[in-house]
Amino acid sequence: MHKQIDLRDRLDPKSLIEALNNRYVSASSRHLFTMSLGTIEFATDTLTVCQAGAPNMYLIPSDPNRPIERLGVGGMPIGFSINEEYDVQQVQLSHDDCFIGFSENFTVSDTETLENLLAKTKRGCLKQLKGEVTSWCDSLLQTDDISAVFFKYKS
Amino acid sequence: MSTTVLILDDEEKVLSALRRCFNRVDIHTDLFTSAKQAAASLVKKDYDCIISDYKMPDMNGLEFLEIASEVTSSTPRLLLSGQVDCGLLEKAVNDCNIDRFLNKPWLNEELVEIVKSAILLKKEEDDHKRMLANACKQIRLATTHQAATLPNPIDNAAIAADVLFRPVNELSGDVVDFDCDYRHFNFVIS
Repeated sequence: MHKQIDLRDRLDPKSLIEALNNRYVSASSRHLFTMSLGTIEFATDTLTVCQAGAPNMYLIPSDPNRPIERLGVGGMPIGFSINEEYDVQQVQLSHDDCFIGFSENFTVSDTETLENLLAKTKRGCLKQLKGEVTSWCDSLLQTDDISAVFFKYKS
Repeated sequence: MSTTVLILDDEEKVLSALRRCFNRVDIHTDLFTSAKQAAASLVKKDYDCIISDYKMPDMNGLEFLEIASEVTSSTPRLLLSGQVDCGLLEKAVNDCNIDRFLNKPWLNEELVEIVKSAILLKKEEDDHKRMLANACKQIRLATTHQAATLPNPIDNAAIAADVLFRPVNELSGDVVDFDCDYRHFNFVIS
């Protein structure tokens, strides 16, 4: 029996994605899917992310002098091959740092527009960030579902 | 379930012949010599097929089948006529959406085969419509469920979090979720 996955448990994104991939491949599914999984440990201010073929994520530091950071190293989609290894990335979060992770792989040109938009957004204001990104998404000729997680770290 | 065909012809002898033809294959017939009475019956009862003669004193067969299509658009409609005329055929197919045109005199086996095929086709179309309606209902339910499972925004002392969810169709293949306790914030985007 497989252990039930519960997001309320402490997550180890790498082990969880690798276990999910092996379970999915073993189920003989011919489908692939992408995902990003992340966890923040409040005690250490650490964000750990792991990707399985999912698009880049963005960390928008509260300090305007720090550049916006692309997170994630890609990785193979879930279901591609058994015993696939996935890399994790860890970053230290500061007060009022913001984050966005998307489900959709935008075109190169759209990604460029998005990154320009993020660069101009007022730092540390999640509401404004979400509003601007939402308006930008609404302006796209949408060919696939778009989902995103936004957060602002306060600890 | 028994099959019933409505037949309209102003000649009693023709109606009797058609009744015998269909009785042999257990197809029930409702026979009318008047278009008005036939139309009244269409409103009250569901038929599997409608057959009409063309040349009749009170109304021609195309006019009757046009009325029939307004009452019951999906029921197969057949026109029987002794006069084969290209203009009539063109009007029957193009303007009145008649399913089949048959010459008088007809071959019983051929007529029965045509009626059975038309009824089978209609039943398949009805099944497809039912399946489509059922699939649409399931999608609507799944969409409601999906919207209900999206995480609610969080704004506490440690973190503020929110989601953006823009499905391209009703039901999205995306999964987006997050959860938080006093030690951790976890999220997944897929």
